[in-house]
Amino acid sequence: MRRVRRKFADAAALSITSLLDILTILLVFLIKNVSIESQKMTVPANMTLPTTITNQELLDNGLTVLVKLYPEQIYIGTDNIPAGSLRQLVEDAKTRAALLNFMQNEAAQIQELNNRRGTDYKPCLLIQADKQITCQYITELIKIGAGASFADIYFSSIQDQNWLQASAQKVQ
Amino acid sequence: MVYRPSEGRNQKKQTPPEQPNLVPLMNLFITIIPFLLTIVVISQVALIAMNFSKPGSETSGTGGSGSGPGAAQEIKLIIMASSDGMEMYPGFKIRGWGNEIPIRNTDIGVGFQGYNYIELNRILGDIKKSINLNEISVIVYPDVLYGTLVQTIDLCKSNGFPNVIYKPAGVLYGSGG
Repeated sequence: MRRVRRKFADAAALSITSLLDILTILLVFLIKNVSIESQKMTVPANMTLPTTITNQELLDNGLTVLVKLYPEQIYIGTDNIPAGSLRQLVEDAKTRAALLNFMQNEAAQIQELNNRRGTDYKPCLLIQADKQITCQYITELIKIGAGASFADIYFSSIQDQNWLQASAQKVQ
Repeated sequence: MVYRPSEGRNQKKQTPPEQPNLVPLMNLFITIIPFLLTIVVISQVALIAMNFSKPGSETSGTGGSGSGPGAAQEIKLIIMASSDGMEMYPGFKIRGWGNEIPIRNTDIGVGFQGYNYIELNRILGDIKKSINLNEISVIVYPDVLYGTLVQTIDLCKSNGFPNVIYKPAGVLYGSGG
């Protein structure tokens, strides 16, 4: 009897196009999340941070609320929401009230998170400011932050071990 | 008569092995890598921490004079920018334990607005050696630059004063409420 051999077709190549589609979507989300987190630890564009020798660690259980102070504009949150100018910060009560409201909301959300998950996160205010702006604006911002229950306030800077020696050099 | 099977019957086709199509993957990488490179952080960002455990107490005071209990033990480092006769001059002033040390701005460090950080660093080191305190109050005038404030706090912390209290000088700002 003649044996009939069944012919098997060659195995089809695994299509990775669908996989890549999923990966693409995932990567977009991941990169967005990473960029939000990294905003807190990166130098904002067009901003000159002061230099410092010391570098302190953020609280392990600290959740930061970011405020960026440019010479002409204030941005709050990782989404860079415009919150008025520096002049408005000291002269306009509505601007201060809006900032206070934002910080209180952020603090309340952290508190709600603690209640829901049983955690002990503490709201921290992270100030990224250009070194050329004057301290009256920083003072006002700290007052607002303290009023919104932000006990820990951090200033962003660039670590430079040699800035003190550089300060002694006479500019010709 | 029996013929042997044809050789071509059992002969498998010698096709090259299938390679996964890497073109879409490479396209993805080519898109992502420049983007990731643009967000790479070259400089090292540091943080200077301040604690305001008692809300309002640190920022609401005038901070100019040294009155109240424990004032003798308190070290006040005043940062001034503008000149106002003898009392105010561009530079630092350290008050405490009955002394007052002026550190006027010099022509060195013009890039640092003339603040004599070297002298401040030396004096803070001497104070730390003679008085074992962990706390120092930094009183800052409104027209002092933020960079000056942060670098002054930095020197306080690096000289062994981990608890820096921020106090604005008693000057009114604006009139918007």
